Amino acid sequence: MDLLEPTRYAFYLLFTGDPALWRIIFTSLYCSLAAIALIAPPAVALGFLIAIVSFPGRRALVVFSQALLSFPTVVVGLVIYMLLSRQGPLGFLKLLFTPEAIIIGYMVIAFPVLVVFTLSAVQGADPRVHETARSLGARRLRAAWTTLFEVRFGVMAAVVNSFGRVVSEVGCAIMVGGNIAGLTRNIPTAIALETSKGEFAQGIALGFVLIVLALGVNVALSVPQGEGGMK
Amino acid sequence: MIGELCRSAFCLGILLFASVLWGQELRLGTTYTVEDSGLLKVLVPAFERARSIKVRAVLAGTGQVLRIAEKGDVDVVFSHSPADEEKFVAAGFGVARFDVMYNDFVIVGPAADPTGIRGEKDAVGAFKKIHARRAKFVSRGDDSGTHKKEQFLWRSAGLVPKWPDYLSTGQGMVRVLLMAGELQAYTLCDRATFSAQRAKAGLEILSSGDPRLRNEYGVIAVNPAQHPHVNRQGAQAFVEWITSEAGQHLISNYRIGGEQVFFPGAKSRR
Repeated sequence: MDLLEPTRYAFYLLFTGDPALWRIIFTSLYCSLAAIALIAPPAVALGFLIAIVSFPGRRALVVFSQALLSFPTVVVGLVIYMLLSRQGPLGFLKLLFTPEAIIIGYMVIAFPVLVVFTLSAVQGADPRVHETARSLGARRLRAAWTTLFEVRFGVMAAVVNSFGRVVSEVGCAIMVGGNIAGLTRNIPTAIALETSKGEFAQGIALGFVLIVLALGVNVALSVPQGEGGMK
Repeated sequence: MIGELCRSAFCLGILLFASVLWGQELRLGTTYTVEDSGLLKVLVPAFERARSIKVRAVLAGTGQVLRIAEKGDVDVVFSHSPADEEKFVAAGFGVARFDVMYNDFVIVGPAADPTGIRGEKDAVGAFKKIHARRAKFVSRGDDSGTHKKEQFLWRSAGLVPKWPDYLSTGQGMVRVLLMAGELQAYTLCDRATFSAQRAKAGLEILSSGDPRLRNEYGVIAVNPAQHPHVNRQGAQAFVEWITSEAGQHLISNYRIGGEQVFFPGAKSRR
């Protein structure tokens, strides 16, 4: 198969601002970023709590969160599909096959990633940070904030990881989004289903955008990190 | 769900490896509607028994099946878009096209029928009403035989299907039916697949009977002159068998819930 011609056409599509193509890119970005923005604060808080507060069932919760990491995204899609289905308990919301349904799915997928990564970042931090802050008279919340600031790069890694997981996810997005052109068709679902029509140029262009996106997000996050990680 | 996708991807993958190892195997490129209606599960074993040839089915929309066949990646094509199939043969990719069977497309939608097309005999008229009310319509949007027929109807109505609730999904027929059911939307479906999936979809046949809704299936052996490696004997055997009395008999006896959904359409080949 000729690879060069579709690739050339892919760049033509990208730089001439092909509206269908850019709409797909927008949908991907919108759903992933919205999901992460919504789920990151509670998930990071929970990861942090599990790390520093001991309570009965904590160990079970940690194991459960870690198990969720390897939960197939299509199962997440299936459960959300059944919940949002017309006959499902949340059918009245009429959310199935909307971008919002994809956002819900992404939130569920991102949740364990954020919790587990935050948890391990906090556990890996020097426990004296928290103790010192407390002994210096910091209130609980203030001390927590200090610790969280101390492990900010670990938390960032959690965010980047969860973004990476959802932005490249295809199973759940097809099931609950339906790959509807101009509405819920995003980069992975378009590559998976549209290329089957022989639209290779679009597939290559979208694959390229996905790589650039991943690179962009990581570069953006590495800027505040500075030399932080390099001791 | 995405089973269709996995299935076709899986079949394609198997096919690429298998084509090298088992030269005598027949690779049959056919469409979702033949599989989704359950007919393929009847035809393939019967043919395998009759001619002692192993069959691997590759599933895709008609447009994609023809493209796969152009590259010589299947030996015989069984699809349903006569105009494209004739073009395929005329371009030298296929030996010849033979009629196999036919049924019809039906316009299905929610029982509430918000646009009032129930009983409409004129398919183009029904499409005009759906367009006029900007009703929810789920389209295959995947270049399949069904999608081509839908596009033909919009063209005949002099309309461009583009409004917020016209949803182009790029997915197989069963998936589109389920989506239309969920959204209580209209869609175009072949009668066989609809009969097989009616219970799950929760939709009703609202308009049928227009001669323009006829859905014709044809069979084409891929031209060995273009692709010398194709299984010429196997393809020829399949073409002969499916248009023979035995094949035609199986097709006319196939029932879904007691209903005949395919009608034998092979003319004498000589």
